[in-house]
Amino acid sequence: MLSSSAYQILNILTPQHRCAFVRRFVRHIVLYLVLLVLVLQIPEMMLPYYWSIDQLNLKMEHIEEQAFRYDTYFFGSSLTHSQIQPILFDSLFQSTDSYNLGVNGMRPPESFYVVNHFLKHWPEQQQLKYVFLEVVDVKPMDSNNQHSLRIRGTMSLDKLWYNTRHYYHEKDFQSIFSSYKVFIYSVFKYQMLNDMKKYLLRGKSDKKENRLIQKIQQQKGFLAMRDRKGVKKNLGHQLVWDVLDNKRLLDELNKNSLLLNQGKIKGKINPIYIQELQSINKKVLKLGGQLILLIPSRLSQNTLSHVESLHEIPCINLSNPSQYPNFYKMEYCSNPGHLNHLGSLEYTSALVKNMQELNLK
Amino acid sequence: MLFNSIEYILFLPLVFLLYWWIQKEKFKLQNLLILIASYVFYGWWDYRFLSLVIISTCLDYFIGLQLNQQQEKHIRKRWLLLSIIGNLSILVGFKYFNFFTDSFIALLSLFGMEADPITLNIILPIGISFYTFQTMSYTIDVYERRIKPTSSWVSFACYVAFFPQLVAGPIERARNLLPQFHKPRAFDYRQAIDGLRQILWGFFKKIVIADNLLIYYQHLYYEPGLHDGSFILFLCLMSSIMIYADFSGYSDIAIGSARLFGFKLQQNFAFPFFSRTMTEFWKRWHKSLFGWLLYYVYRPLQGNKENRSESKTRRNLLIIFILSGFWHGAAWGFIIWGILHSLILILERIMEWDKKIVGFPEKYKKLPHTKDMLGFIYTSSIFFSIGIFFNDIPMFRFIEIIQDIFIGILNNPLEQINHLGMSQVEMALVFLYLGFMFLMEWFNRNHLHGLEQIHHNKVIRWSIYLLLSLSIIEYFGTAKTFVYYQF
Repeated sequence: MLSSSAYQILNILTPQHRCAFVRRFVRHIVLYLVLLVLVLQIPEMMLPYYWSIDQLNLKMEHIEEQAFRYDTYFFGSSLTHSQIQPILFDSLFQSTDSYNLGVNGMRPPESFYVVNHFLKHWPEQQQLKYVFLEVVDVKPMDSNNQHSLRIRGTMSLDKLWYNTRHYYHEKDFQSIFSSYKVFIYSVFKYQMLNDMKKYLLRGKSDKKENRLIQKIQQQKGFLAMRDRKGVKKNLGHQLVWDVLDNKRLLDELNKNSLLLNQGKIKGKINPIYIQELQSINKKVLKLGGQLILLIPSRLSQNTLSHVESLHEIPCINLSNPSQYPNFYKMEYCSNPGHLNHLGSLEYTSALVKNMQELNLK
Repeated sequence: MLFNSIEYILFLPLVFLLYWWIQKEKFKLQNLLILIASYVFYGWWDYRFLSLVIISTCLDYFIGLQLNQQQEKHIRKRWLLLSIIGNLSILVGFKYFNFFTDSFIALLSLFGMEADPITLNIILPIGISFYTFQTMSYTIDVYERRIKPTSSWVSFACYVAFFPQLVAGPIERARNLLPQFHKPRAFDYRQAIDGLRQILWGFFKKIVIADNLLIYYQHLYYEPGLHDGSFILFLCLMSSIMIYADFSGYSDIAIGSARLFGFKLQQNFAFPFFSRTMTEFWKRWHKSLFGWLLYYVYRPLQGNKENRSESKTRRNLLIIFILSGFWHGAAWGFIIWGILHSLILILERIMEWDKKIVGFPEKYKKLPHTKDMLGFIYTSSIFFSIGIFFNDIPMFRFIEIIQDIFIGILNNPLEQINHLGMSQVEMALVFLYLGFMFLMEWFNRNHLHGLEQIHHNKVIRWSIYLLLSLSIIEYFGTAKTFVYYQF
């Protein structure tokens, strides 16, 4: 086949030739893009699955350094990270060596992504006892969080498939669109390569100098929320508390949680969410462990309905205000959404009590 | 729409596929598509300013037709004047109004008179200097009967608003670009592939080099007394390279994009840092603007051969460089920049360097000759030194910067590099990319762009493409505007 320039010189470029050349050009571009995408995946292969989640990074690096010696893990959001004290849990429950893997803002499907990868990398020779998974609602994929490195770094085909099915059931097409957008960004490592490079180049020594990180490690992944009393009014407008408003908000949370727990408000059930929890349960059982679902102190609407339909998985519900009124009192709270240090003692103790009542083998 | 944005990366293939999907014989339909795409491209930034492009287009299209119909010289001259006044009014109104009023008030204050500032908060429409010069070239050429006016408004509108070169050039003369809209374009596989290579090279220069060097440019104009003299000179050097990488990168993307659609735009930068004199440098830097100024200002001013004299030539050089400075921005810094460059050129004329050193550095040599090397250092030094004035900051700031140069001029500039807040690894990587850019441009100095000839081995060639793409993706995303958009 002559080159297109040669055809032009000879002036014999027919529409068929032209189409053939355009097709050939497009074919080459597609081939190049495929190759580029494959090459782009190489740096990610050199990184751990949790590289883009800062808080999880330091916890997982510690666990790997300790060669997965802990047998019990807590997964969830800040409601886990700042409310479950593994040292207290172990001393009360007596048969575990636990670690808090909670990360601020880690809700499903991110927590599903993390748990699935964690179980995939679990060394089979190690004993796994309990995996606690905080169950809260899946948030819509809005425009604010789709630009974060964290959401791109944890995007995978599995997660995309989950998001598609989950949001389809919710008829949330905006979130499906956003998920695909994030997936494409993630495939092309858009605004990620530089961070990947930084991650690969960074040393680990600075951790020893960071007192906050040291504190988290000493407390086995737990860090209490700053106490409300410690916040001074003159520190800036963002830290000033409006006590009255805060109380009103707590009352409202209290009221809603009560209604939900009494079954007076029914949430919607998403079968995809149920299937995912069942799948995680199977994986944990395969490794000889036990999955326990944990409804935290702040309950979202659909969670209870989901858990109620999962009879095979044990569940602990710490969200009932009539059962745990302290979780809704000002002195136990750091802010309307989270408990303070005192609250976390109460919360962990309640968790242990529930565990003992469950009487799992 | 910025070239270095996701929008453009989606926009370009979409327009490309639609364009070639339309049959070659229906090239008028292709023109219409280009026009719509160009208006979308421009309107993406601010659709309101599309009206200026359309007004400019309609004005010159109509005047072009009138110029053709009229035979009497004085009437034709009036039409030409109308076109020039119309175009320059738009340009002055949007670009130079504040400058003139501020300068006038400053002048009055020198004589102890006060005037109320009437500076308006006028937004500068992007690319106004580029398309205004382009439309003016059309009417002047029609007036001079170098070209015939087009009867097709769509073709003319495409010529004015052709999206690859609408906002920052190359400034095409009607003689070159307009006829390309009048005939069918055939898809040329090799041209298209090389166009893509040129786009890739442009992105590399813009995103990897220029965006990373932007911090040097910003630091140059930071508060006074912050840096040693040696470091300021280092910043000047890096800023000059930044401006080069930014603008030539833009031009490469523009020319490469046009080639995908079967259009040939003129080369805008012919590797100017490989020039041995400033006279040679200005034949290689922003060729389309200086070509325009030479063709439409310098030559008419020079007049017939009989009337030419050295003093007249020097005066004309001064004029076109002042105009060039003024074209770049409505600020005294740009005007001083133009004057200083014209003085250097006049000096080279006196020393007859412009006659002694001609032609490109030896074509087949792998490494430059020592004499050539000295020439490169000379031109680069002149360019980066005068480059200090290439900004619209107030005059007293230039004086402060120049004063600062003489403090600690002998200190090691690299010791202060941590002022920029970049890690050493990041810095080393940027310098590595910089070295690669100059190396590639040196080996391609006789070609259109730095990536035209790479290696005959396909694996090596594709590996280089992939490495370039990876480096682009690494820094892509924080879409920084092109420096020349403001002009």
